[in-house]
Parts: sequence; structure tokens; C-alpha cells
Amino acid sequence: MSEHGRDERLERAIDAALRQMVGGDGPADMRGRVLARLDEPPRRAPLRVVALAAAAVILIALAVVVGRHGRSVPVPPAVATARHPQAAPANSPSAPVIPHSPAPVVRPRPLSPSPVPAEVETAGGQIEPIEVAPLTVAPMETPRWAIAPLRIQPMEIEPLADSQPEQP
Amino acid sequence: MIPVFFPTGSPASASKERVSDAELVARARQGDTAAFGELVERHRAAVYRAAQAAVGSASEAEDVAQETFLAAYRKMATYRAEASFKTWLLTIAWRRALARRRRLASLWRRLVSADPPEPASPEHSRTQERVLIEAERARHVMRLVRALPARLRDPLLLCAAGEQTYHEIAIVLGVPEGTLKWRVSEARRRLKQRLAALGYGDE
Repeated sequence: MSEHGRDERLERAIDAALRQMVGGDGPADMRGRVLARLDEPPRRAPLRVVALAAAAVILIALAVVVGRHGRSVPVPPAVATARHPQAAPANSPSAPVIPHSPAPVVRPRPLSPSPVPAEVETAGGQIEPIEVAPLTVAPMETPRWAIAPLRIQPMEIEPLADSQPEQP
Repeated sequence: MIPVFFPTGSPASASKERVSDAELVARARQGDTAAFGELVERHRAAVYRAAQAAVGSASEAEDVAQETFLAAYRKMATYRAEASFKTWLLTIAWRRALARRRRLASLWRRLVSADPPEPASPEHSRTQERVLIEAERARHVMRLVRALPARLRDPLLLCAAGEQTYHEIAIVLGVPEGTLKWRVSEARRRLKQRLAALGYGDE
């Protein structure tokens, strides 16, 4: 049997197998299927979806944290009116004052309550500064430490006697 | 929408002769879906076979082919006609098919263990025994092809698809034409060597 003949047979076998592997023409209605899907919105890439999900989780976590530490407190309507002086015209004192928004104005609660308010709101809508006496802090006095130097007593070691009998 | 005229005969055959790809692309860019449909019809076999060469499964190849055409339609404005429309299309198909191949975690196991597709209809003169022997041999060859490294297997299958020239496949794979030819030749040499070691070719 010639080498050439065997080579040809193997080539034919390979070609036949390859034709089976990539021999199809695809579905005959490919055109219809594609045209039917032309108006579909493009699929989002998986990475983009993951990024969006991560961003959403972060936003939710931030909202929870802010909600816990910065809880809104209702403010009386009088104060709310004072915050909007344009709502009460100055040249018509007899006219009843009607706030623009009936809902109370809310302020976030400060994170750490301050013992001395920085400003006081008055009914006139003006804010008067409060004078705060400067704090004087006395310097701390710490007791002085005195450490006595260590003294080591000289040790006396007796020399071993040679005449002692050995233990069994 | 600009209508596509098919002057004589069946739409596909008439348009193949009279309307070039470039003309159909120009019409599709203007929103002519019928023109794009004609492009799909012209190149569906090439795109499907390229996808099949990469993913190795008919159903996956169908999905890739459809996704390729949809992506091409949406990216039509970016086609610069530096290569032929077919080559551009095949490049999209190949990239998508490779991405799918990477995504399929169990692809390797499936490729190795999957039953081969049904063999082509045998000639009437052949006996059933002969058909079975050839089917068995084809099964062996396919297993050996799948066991080749991707850098040899992909060019071999793309060339076997018979829809593209070496030049087009070299562009799709992003390798020089000489390299492509060497890889195809090397793939065939290895296959023949292994088949001969199994005792094929001596009958």
C-alpha cells in the first residue's frame, strides 16, 4: 500500500469530518428571525448590569446611614414662617400671615448635640448672635514621678565542694 | 423606507446579481430593513459556519449568528468599508462566538463528549456497513479536531467552512495570511499523524 494513497485517504476522511462540523447553512428563516428582532433594545452587557447593581446597593446603604444619623425633626410652623420672611409682606401688617407651604420645615438633627447653640432664631426672622465666653482650661497638673535607681545586692556564691559524693 | 426591487426571478437570486453589498448597506443605513434582510440572506451561511467553527454546536451557532446580524444592524453607522461587508460581519461573528465560547464553562466537556451531528445522507450505492464505518471514522476525526489547540483548530474549521478566502480569514483572526496557511497545514499534518497511529488509512 503506497504512502501517497494512505495520505489521500486520510485527507478525504479529514475533509468529510470537517464538512460535518461546519457544514450547515444555518436556519432557513434566519432573515425573518433577525428582522423580527431589529426593534429589540440591545442587551446590556453583564458587567454593566453588575456595576449598576453595585451602585444601587451603595446608594441604598448611604440612604440608610443618612436616615439613621440625620433624622428629620419637625419644626413649629411659627419658625417655618420666620424662615421665609418674604411670605409676610412688611407694608400690610393687618393682613393675616399665610405661609406658602403648610408643611413644616424640617431640619436634620446635628450629629453631635452642641451644649451652646451657635445662633438663636427669633420671631422677627433675624438671628442674633450669642456671645459665648471663651473657655479657659486650667493646665493639668500631673504628679512628678521619681524613680529610684535600682540597686543590686552583690550575690555571694559558695564554691562547690569537691568531696561531695555523686548521686546514684 | 426605500423599496428594494427584485426585477426578475426569485428575490435572492435577482438581487445577488443586480445589487451590491455596498448598495444594500447604504440602504440599510437609511433604515431599509428589507435591504438588511437581503444582506442577512446572503451571508447567513458564512456567519453561521464561522460561529459553528468557534462554538462547535449548532444551536449556539444559530444564537451567535442572530446576535451578529443584530449587532451589525445597530453598528451599521460604524462600518467604514475598509474591508468588505462580509469580512466585517465575520469579524463581529468571530468575536461574539469566541466570547460565547469563553462564557460556556462546560464547553470543553461538551465538545469532547458530544455526539457528532447526523452524517450527511449517504449515497444509495453504499452499503449500510460502509456508512457505519465511515461514520465511526468521522467521529474519531472530529474528536481529534476538537482536541487540537485552538490556534490550529480555529483556522482549520474556518477554512473548511468554505465561505471565506484565506485573506478574509486572516483578517478575521488577526494573523498574517502566511501564518494562517501554516496553521491549517500543521493542523492537517497532526490529524493525519494521529489517525495513522490509530490505524486509519491502511484499509
